[in-house]
Amino acid sequence: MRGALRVVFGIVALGWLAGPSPAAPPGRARVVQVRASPAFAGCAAVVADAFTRRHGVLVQVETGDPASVGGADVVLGDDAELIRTLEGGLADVRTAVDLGYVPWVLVTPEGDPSAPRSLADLDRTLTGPLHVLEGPAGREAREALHLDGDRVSLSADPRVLRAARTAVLPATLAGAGSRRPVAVRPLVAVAAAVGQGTAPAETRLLLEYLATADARHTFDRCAGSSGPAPPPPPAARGAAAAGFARGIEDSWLPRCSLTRNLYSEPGEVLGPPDAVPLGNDRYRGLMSLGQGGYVVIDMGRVVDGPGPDIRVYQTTAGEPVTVYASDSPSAGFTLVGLQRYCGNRSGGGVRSNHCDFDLGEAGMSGARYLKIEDGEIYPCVSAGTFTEGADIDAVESLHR
Amino acid sequence: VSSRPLVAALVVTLAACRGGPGAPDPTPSPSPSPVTVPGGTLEGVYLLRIQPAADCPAPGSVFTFPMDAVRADTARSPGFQLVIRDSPRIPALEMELMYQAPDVRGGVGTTHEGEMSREGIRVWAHTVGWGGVTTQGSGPGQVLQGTLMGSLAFGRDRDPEGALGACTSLAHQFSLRLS
Repeated sequence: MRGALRVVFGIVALGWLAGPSPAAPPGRARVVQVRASPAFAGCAAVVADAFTRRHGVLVQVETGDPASVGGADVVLGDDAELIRTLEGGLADVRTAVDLGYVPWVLVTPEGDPSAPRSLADLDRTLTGPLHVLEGPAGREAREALHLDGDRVSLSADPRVLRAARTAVLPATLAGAGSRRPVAVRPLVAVAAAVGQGTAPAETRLLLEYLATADARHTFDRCAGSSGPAPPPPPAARGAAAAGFARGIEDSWLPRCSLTRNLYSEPGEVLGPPDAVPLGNDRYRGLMSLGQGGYVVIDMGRVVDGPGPDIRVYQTTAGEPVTVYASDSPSAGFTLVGLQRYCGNRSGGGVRSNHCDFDLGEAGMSGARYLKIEDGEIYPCVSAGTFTEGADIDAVESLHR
Repeated sequence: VSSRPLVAALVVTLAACRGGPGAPDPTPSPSPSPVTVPGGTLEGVYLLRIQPAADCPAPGSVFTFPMDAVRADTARSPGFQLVIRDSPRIPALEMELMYQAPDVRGGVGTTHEGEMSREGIRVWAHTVGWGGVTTQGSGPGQVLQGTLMGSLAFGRDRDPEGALGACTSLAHQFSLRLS
């Protein structure tokens, strides 16, 4: 994010008013520095205020790029903003806490009958610039618009966005006007401790608090969210591992990725999800696909049923995944889903996130083989992580 | 043994000796174009040409980048790596291609900073491309027409990603021609 803001919210003073902290060492009132992306900073300040009143530990929330960890004890951003920070070990993925979700809304002038009512209306009815959040967190929204660049104005400045007459924004950045929900993935507010933070005890206390129902409720109320999306029902679980990938047919990683990545063993994709983050970009139980790499797996059989048919478990944040299907292990692969965000929380004790795919979307009734391809496609030579590309833990057939 | 080759060689030799003092210069006959054959290697300096899909909101029809190509074989497959040429620090654009002769396939991606095209537009790419390699004569190969699918975004030099448009499509195109 270029030109990121660094607005400091005035919650430090509230912390002082709350009196001495039972957790802070006497005489040294350490302040936990939180760097939050624009969509989360306002509600993060509200939650931090509640934390300070409860624990007496001071928190300073600033708006900025959470991928830039310098000077921060905790970063707070969406999956799309934190992929490289968490993967590269700048923030500790083991401490990551989901604070809540922020839905996207279409903001239009109140009472204007000619205003657009949906994203599909924009091309026809938009009369001025459409304001949209810039940066990785806004990428999916921008691509959903299908508007020429001269009709869109990007900004990360909350004041500019809240003043916008017509905008597509996270609800936390929406100003006055009519708000309509839009079909864009809600942002997920992920907090994680920075490896080189200066207040480790206070940071740990804050992250423990952020994981409580009280903190999440406070965030949801501020963000206008109905609460974190419930984890989807466990599918085909308990029916043995027959619903998971059972064989490796093929794989390819570029030489650069093979040289730099630590986890290139295709066999890690087999069986149920079992990946575990070990800290400092170290993991167990996954295969990193590198820049545009893939693995072809034998599923036995995947069939088209009600709802999604295939679940890919992907470990870090929401790195995108592309899936193809075929009845041959080496030819005739049909695209099922392209670069799908793969960060839906799995729950049920599964550490990996997931994304779902529907064979029906590709006009297929069934397939035996799946090709799972990296959808992030980030330059290997510039990556700087040991887990470049989507990190595949497991693949599950949801109907048999 | 047929005597035809010998006769043909003699005719060619005589024809070549016709030009003497006072004789008009022979008109040089155009040399035949080298035959284009499928396959080859991608090595040397190339011009990557990205053409966004027709329905993609983009501030231009073509964006080009100079690329350095080297072989990047693995035990699994031959391959090629192409990196933006003369990058000042961290290369922001890279292609990693698997080669199953005569076709290449692989990722074409940029960092979050994107890469400035020769047309003066910054491009962000997270795409997979494929196409056939062809070779003329004995030189390196080229991809004269390939398909790209995935996300592209555009902006001016200091713009944030997508300020001049963004889209995901199955129908972008690319080529890799010797520079």
